[in-house]
Amino acid sequence: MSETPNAIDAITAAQPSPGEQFFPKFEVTPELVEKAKELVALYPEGKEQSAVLPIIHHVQEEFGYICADAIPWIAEMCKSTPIHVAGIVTFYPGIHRKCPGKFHFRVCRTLACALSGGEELMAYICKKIGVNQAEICDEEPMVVSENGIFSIEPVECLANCGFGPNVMVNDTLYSQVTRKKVDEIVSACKKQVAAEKKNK
Amino acid sequence: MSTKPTILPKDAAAAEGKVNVQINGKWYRFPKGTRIADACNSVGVHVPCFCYHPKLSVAGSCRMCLVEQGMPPRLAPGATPMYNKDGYQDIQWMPRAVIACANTVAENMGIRTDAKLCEEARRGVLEFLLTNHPLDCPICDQAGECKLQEYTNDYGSGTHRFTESKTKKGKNLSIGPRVNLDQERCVLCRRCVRFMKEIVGEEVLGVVGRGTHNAIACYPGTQLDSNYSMNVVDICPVGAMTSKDFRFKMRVWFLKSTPTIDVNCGTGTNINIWTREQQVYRITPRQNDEVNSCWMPDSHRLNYKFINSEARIKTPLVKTDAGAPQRPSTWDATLNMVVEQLHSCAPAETAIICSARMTNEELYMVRALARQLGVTKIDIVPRKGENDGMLISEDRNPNSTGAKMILGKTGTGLAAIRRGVKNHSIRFLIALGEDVTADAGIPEEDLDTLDYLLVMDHTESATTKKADVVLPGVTFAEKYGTMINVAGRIQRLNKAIEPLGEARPDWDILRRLTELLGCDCPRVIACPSPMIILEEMAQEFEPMKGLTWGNIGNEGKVILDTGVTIPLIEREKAKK
Repeated sequence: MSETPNAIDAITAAQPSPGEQFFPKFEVTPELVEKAKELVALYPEGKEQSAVLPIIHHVQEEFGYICADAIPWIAEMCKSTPIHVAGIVTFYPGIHRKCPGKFHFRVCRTLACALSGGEELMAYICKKIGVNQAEICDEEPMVVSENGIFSIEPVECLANCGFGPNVMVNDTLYSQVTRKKVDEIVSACKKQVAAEKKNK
Repeated sequence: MSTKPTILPKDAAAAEGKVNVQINGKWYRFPKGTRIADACNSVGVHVPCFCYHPKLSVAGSCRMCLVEQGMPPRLAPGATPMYNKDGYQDIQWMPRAVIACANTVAENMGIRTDAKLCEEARRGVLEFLLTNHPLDCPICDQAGECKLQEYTNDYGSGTHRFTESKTKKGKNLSIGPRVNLDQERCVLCRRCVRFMKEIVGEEVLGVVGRGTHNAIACYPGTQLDSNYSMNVVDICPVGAMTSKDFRFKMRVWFLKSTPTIDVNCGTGTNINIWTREQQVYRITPRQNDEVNSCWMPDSHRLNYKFINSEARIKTPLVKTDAGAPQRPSTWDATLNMVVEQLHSCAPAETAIICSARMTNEELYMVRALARQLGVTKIDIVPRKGENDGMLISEDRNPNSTGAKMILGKTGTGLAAIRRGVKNHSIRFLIALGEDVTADAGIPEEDLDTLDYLLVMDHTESATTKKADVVLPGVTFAEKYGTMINVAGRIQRLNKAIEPLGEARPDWDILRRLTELLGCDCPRVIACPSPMIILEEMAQEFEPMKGLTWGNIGNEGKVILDTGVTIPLIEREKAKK
C-alpha cells in the first residue's frame, strides 16, 4: 500500500477524504440510471458521448466527487470508453477526484480579486476552517479539513471582478468578502452541521 | 519578350480540377482539396510534422508545420484582378503563419517554408516541446529515427532558456504486452490515440490531465493488447512508445533496412527487414496503399525469430544407412547421392509435397523437377485461418495464388498422397519447404514406413529428423523471389541477409538437382538467378506477360483478378 501507484494507476487511485461522511457512497441505483438515460436522450442518436459532461456534473452533485467506480459506469451510459471519461475528469479542475467537505470554499485568485485582498483572505479562511494552506499545491489544489466539514480550493475567475474579493461556498457566491463575513459564513455552516447532527 | 498567355493558368488548372500553388517561389499544380503539407511533401519540399499522419484524422496540435501563406489581395468593389506576365496574381503574404496539415491549397496561393517567419515559429515550437523533455536520447530507442531529435537539429535554437524544474511524469510504463510508454518523452501528438480509435476501433488510449501534466495513458486495468498495437511504436514520432521486443537491442543507425514482403499470410504485407551483420533485429511495415496502408499485425511482425534460430539447418544432412543417424555432408556429395537415389525411385510410387510458402521461382523449379522425375503426384499444403477483418487473410500461405498458377489445381492431391503414404502405394516422398507431419497431416510413424524421404527445409522439424537426406534451404529473409498475394498482386522478396551457414537458396538447389538428373532444357538449367527465372515465367504464363524484376517495383503489380479484397484497404478507400 505504501508504494506510490504508477502514473497510470494513479488515475483511479483512491483519494480518501474526511468529507466522504457527508455524502452518500457512489452506487448505481435505478434512479441514477434513469437520470443518466434522460441526459443521454437529450442528444441525437450516435452522439451519446456528448452526455459525458452532464452526467459527470450530476454524479458530482449527488456524491460530491467522481470516484473510480463512477468512471466506467459513465462510459457505459454514454457509449464511450473509460479512458475518454477519465480524460475529461482529469482535465477540468471543477471536477473532483477527491471528496470535498460539506462546505466547499472556492476562493478566487485571479488578478482583480488578488488586488482587492484575495490572497490574505485565502490565508484567513484556511486558518478559520482549520486546514493547512501549505498543503495546497498544483497537483492537489483542494484541501479538506480534518472534520470533513470544510474544504478549500483556489480557483480562477468567478466572473464578478468588480466586487472582489470573491468567494464561492458550494453554489453561493459571496462578493466583497471581509474577515467578518468569513466568520459569519463559517459559524453559520457549523451551526447547520450541529443542527443536522441533533436531528439524526 | 514574354507574350501574354492566351489562357490563364488558373483556367488551365481548373479544367483539370486542380489549382496553382506557389511553393518557395516555384509554381505547381495540385488537385483541389490537397492538404498544404501533402502538397509540399509531394514536390520535395519538406514540412516538419509531429501530429499529422496522412492516414489519420488531422489534430493540428503540434504546430510544427507552420508555414507562411499568402493569397491574392481581396479586390475592391468593381475592380478587376491584375495578372502578371505569367498570368498569376501577386501574392499578399499574411503576417502570421498557418499550419500546413489542417489547411488545403487554393488557387493562386503562395506557401513559403523557408521564410524567416517559419524559422522563428519552428524554433519557438521546439523550445516549448523541449521544456519538459527528459533529453534521455543516449538511452532512448528512438534516437536516430526521432523526429524531435531531427527537427531540433534542423530548426532548433541549440540552447534553451527554460531554467525551471521539469514536470515529472510516468516512465517505463508497461501499457500492453508488447508496448512500453514513457510519458515524459511524449510530445502529445496523439497519433497513437487516433490510430487506436480510427484504425483499430478500440479506444484504449487517451489523454489525461491538463496543461503541463497532460499525458497519454490507458485506463487502469485495460491494456493496449490489440494485435495491431505495435503500429503505435512506428507512428510515434518520438520515443514515448517503444517496442518491448526491440527495446535496447540495437541502435537504429547500425541497422540496414531491406524492403520485402511478409510471408505469414496471403495479404503479403509490405515490410522492411532491419538487419545488422546477418542478424534480423526487427520488422516494420512499409507503406503500400493497395496492400497494407502503413500497418501490419503484431503476430506477423514478431514472427522473425526463426530466421536466426539455433534450429536452423546449416549443412546438408545425410543418412548413410537405414537406421543410422544423420551426418553433415558437403553439397556436391549430397546432391550426387540424391540424384542416384532419385533415379532408383519409381515415378508412380513417388510424391512431391511442396509449399505455397515458396516463391514463384521456386515453384517453377519444383515443377521442372517433377517433370524431370516424371512424378505426377504433387501438391501444396493449404493453410486456412480466420480473416481478422483487418490485414490478416484467411489464407495463411503467402503464395497460394502463385502456386495455383504454376502447378495448376492445388490442395486436392494432398489427401491422396496422405493415403498413399499410409497404404504404402507411395514409397518415396519429397517434402519441399514443409513439415509434412504438421499441416499436411501425415503421422510421424507413417514416415518411418517410407523407403525414401528427401526433405528440403530451413529449420529442423519432425520431418527433417526422419529424412534420409536434408537439403538446407533458406528463409524469406535470405532470398530473392516473387509471390502473388490473395488479391492477385505480384510482389518482390528481397534478400536482407546471406544464407546461414552452408544453406543455399531453394531455387538453386532445385535447379541443380534437375540439371544433375539429366534435364537439358536451357530454360531451366541455364537460369542464373530468380530474376531470370521470372523472365522465363513471363514468357510462359499469360498473366505474367511482360513482367520483369524491375517493372514489378517495390509496390508490386496486379496481374490476376481474384476478386479477393483486403478489408482494411477497402475501409480506407471508402473513407476517401
